[in-house]
Amino acid sequence: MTALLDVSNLSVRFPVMEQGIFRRQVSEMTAVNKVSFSLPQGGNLGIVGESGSGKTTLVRAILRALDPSEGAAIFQSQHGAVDLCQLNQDQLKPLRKEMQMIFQDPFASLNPRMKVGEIVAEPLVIHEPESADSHRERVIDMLERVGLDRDAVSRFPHAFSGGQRQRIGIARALILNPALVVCDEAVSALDVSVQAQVLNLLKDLQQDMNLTYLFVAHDLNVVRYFCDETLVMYQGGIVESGPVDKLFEHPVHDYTKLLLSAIPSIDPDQKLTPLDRSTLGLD
Amino acid sequence: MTNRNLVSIHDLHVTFDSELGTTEALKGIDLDIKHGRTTAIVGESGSGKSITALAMMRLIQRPGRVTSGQILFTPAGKETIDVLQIPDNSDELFDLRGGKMAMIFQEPMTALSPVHTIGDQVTEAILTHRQVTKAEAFARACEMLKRVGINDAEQRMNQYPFEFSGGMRQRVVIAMALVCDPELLICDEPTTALDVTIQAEILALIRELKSALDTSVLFITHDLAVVAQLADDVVVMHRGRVLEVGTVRQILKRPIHPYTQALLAAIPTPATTGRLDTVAELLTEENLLPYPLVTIKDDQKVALPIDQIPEALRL
Repeated sequence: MTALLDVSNLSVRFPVMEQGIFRRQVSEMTAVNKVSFSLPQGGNLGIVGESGSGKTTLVRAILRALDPSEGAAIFQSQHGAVDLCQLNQDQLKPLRKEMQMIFQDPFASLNPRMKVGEIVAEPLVIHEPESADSHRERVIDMLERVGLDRDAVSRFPHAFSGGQRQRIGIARALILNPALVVCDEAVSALDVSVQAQVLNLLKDLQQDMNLTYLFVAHDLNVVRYFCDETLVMYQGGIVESGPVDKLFEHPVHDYTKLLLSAIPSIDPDQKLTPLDRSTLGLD
Repeated sequence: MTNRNLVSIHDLHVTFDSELGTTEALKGIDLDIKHGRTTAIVGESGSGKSITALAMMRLIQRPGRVTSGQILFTPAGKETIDVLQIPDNSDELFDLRGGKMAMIFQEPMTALSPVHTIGDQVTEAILTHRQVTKAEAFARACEMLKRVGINDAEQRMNQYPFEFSGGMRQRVVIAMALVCDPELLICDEPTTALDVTIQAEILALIRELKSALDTSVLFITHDLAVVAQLADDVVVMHRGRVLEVGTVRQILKRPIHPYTQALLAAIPTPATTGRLDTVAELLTEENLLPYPLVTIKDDQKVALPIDQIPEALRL
């Protein structure tokens, strides 16, 4: 299998400004530190870590929602391999239809004043304005694929539950037939029963549409279930990576052990015994 | 172990009025919170678990209203009172909220005022409910912050909420809730917004403080793993009804109601492969008809007709 995405030595640094009126830059804060990984075509790569570990910054830098400070992200586009870090926003625009994102909060990520049909059609309007005649049909088809009724097109997001809204977000992300889909905590805000439906849907769509997922999550059990491989991030860097079963059964790095020890078990007889952070020698 | 009931809710109905008609958020629920134990209410969003807690604190506001029922509360060494009969704006109601029952919420940032120091906010909770001087209240607040694991409490009393991390803020909220020695601590999804490592710390803290301070806890969550770790008794709610009541082992290891079974099946565990079972696939509408709650063996209760309960478990 060829790598759809090959990231090497990617760093993101944010300037730290002085207080006061001149706001001179006094130092830098490294949010993502020399991250390298490879995501094969059709794979599911999980990214786990605590808040502040740099998971979201990393995926935003790969999608060029913010600019990386150094490194490369080689993406196999339909027109050959490109380094996403070297392109300007104009050059990136045609590539955006091949990389899409599903967001965490199904309430904040949908414009309340747009009808669902308009929300799902918007990527088509931007990227394929020439085929406007077929947009409505494609939107209805996509909505049906994610398990929504065709009359959803003429309704507003407030009429839908959290799980249904997440389906709308998925429809919007997939309508352009992307190759890479970044799920940033896509199921974290959902109830467990709805979460199971959305995870099943994402797996089904992966089969049908030949998708590759980059799956950011803090729920380690969900990552273990959903992904093939996972990266563990701590303070901006990758401390451990590997196939999920190996990583969950035989963690090597202390930080991975700490994370795993903090997962509560569903069995009341298996009491939670989290490791003590201070004894682990993490800085 | 037979504990007395600290709170006993009977046939509680809560409705919300809107221009489209009325919605029943609670359709007549019965539940008991035993003294000295941790009772968890589990359910999905919209099941009525938070509304139950708000009704106990008399915090249901228009357009919502309690239409009928009783919430009997029996503080240590006092007579039983019906919380719903306490007059509005009375001293008794004031003493109940924050004094006898305290509540902590999901999002610690919205529960704290951004423009007051941590010290002022914890001290205010004491001054509101206890006849003490400011200096005494300050000392007590400081002691409570140390109790919940905040280092350098004296200095941190002068800091503002934005100077605290999410886990530390939740510790402050817990300190505020416990500083007046409430009989009942109500926790509404207190760890949902936290990282798994911080969640483990907060759960350990709640468990430790509960036994040290002799407080009973009502824990509201949708996370069954958190329930497994913290609860003694479990109440399963769905669409404004109680479907099953039992000890944590009964509910998680031997669930009887199809809804509880489906909820457990929907959680991915290390052993899960293939498709996840979803609640919608496993349930029929018939499973969710409003059957009355019946008591079966070992004090477990379940809302099912008798012929759907395994014979060995019937009374």
